[in-house]
Amino acid sequence: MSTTPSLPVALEEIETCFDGIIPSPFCTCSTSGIPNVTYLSVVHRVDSNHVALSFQFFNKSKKNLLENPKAQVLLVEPATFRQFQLNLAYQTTLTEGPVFERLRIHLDAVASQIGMSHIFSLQGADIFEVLDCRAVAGNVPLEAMQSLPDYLRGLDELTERLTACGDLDTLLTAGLDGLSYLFGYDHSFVLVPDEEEKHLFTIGSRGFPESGVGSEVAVGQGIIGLAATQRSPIRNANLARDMIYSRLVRSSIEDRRHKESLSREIPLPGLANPCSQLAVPLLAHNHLLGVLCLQSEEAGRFTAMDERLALVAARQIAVTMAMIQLKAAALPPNEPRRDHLGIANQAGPCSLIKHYKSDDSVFVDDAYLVKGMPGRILMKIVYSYLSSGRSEFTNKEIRLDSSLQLPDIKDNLETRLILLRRRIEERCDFLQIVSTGRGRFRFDAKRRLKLESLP
Amino acid sequence: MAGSFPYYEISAGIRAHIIQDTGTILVGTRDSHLMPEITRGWGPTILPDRRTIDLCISLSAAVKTLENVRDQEEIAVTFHQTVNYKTVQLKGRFLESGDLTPQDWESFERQKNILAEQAKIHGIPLKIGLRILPLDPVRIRFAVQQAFEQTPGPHAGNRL
Repeated sequence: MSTTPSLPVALEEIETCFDGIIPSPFCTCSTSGIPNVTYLSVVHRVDSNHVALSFQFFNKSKKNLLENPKAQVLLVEPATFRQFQLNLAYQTTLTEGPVFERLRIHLDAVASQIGMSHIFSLQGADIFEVLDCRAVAGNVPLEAMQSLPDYLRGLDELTERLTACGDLDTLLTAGLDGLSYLFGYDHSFVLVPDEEEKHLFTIGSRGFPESGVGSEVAVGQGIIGLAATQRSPIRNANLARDMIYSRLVRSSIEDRRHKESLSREIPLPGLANPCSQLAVPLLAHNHLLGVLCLQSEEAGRFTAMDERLALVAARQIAVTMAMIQLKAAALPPNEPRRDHLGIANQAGPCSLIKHYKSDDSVFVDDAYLVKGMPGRILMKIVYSYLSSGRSEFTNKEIRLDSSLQLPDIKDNLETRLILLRRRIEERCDFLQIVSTGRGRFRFDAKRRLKLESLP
Repeated sequence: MAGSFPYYEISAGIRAHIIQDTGTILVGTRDSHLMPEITRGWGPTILPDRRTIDLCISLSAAVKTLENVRDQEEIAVTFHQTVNYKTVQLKGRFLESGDLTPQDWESFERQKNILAEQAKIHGIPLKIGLRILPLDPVRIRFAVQQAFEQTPGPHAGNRL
């Protein structure tokens, strides 16, 4: 990019204007002198003197730019609503490279969130030189601007809390609680990948009416799925708009009386009116251990600063997760105590556990509980409990059980056990999985159980 | 040129959108060098001839816009509903500017209330969102010559 004189207002000073929180008015003009004014979802800052706009459709703006490269865009600073006018000169359209990829990821995230991936595709990144950038007259004074909070102090405390955690369960709770207490991220959840890394499932959440533990997202789909595939944080400042579409789709499915197709689907944790979302991958040595997702009902809640902060927190959570998992896999577990006998044959009410082999889904008294790997683990436990009265188990014996088909390389047993335990806690007050020491747990049932296997 | 088009009679549907649903308005003009200029518009009033619209712009923020329209008549005005994204763009010719009439103030207040409702849905605090309202409004009048659908989707860009 060519070097041009510095601008009256540096683009770096108005960084939050490029977050796409407030749509940006954009004006072009034909050679015959007729202006055209429209809205852009987001303007991307390329460097100190250039911005990029996504080119998806050949519309009137694009036609005008090819005739007359002059354009103007109006940016709004979300926290203050100060406005800035940028005079632009269209230079070129990129169809590859880092700028194009950045715009493509952003577009893919929005498109897949609303199931429109097949329709929205980026044809190019239109690059503009910024000729002028100045504040619009009448902007309110900056009394609303606040000094930056002391993030270092918060990060110091968060990392101290995380490194004190000895198991994944405690780590998840400490991590999400810390993000809330220390940084005000009150609504958060963590997802981890399945064995094939085709889906992510929720294993912990904080600040939602329903925990959503067990809910799934396809890798590559939506903001969360894309954060996983791209190994990169993704923010959405216009979540309200996308959710309107998503809810319409979901309600149309329900209206067609296909409710049975949703019966095994646990809704993701979510606020009633989410406006902002930030998904950050949990990476350790570039290995995907999960995704941390933050939500807010406040539009534009998550800025570039929040993104960096969440990235640092996510890295610390991921590294601690990796350490805990390595430790759990390396150390021999304590032997299970044999003095605790099962209570399979006790008198009293009886509950029916149905196991569907096709997807290992488990229903307790016809209410969906879990599926997939956690379902297989639960079935092994219940079968042992009913057939031999055993209630004490070790992680090691689960890990070594070939019938469970746990992967050799990526052992996610601990995360499956956490999911299973939390789903049971939420859904069955008469079942319990209790940790009884390092690498050991006990299965308790306060009712008689009957097991039924179905195709 | 815009001047070559006949005047456009605003339909009942567009009128309802402008008066009842519009949260934000953008005004696009250009100078003699074809450099575009944007400013925000407020409080539209459709005059009884159904071909002419009055709206307010900020005297201080729209200095360049006022210069442009006094020199070059072409104007484009976009009416946007910020919740369902329904958008209509009208193109035409600037006619005159002046002080606000009681009717303009009434229209100004009406649109402010619509924007406040829509900002609430977006989770934008009112004390912040309404900061873009002009403190020094001035009225401009323009004649409509063309109308375009601008709602995102397959019909965007179509003539209305």
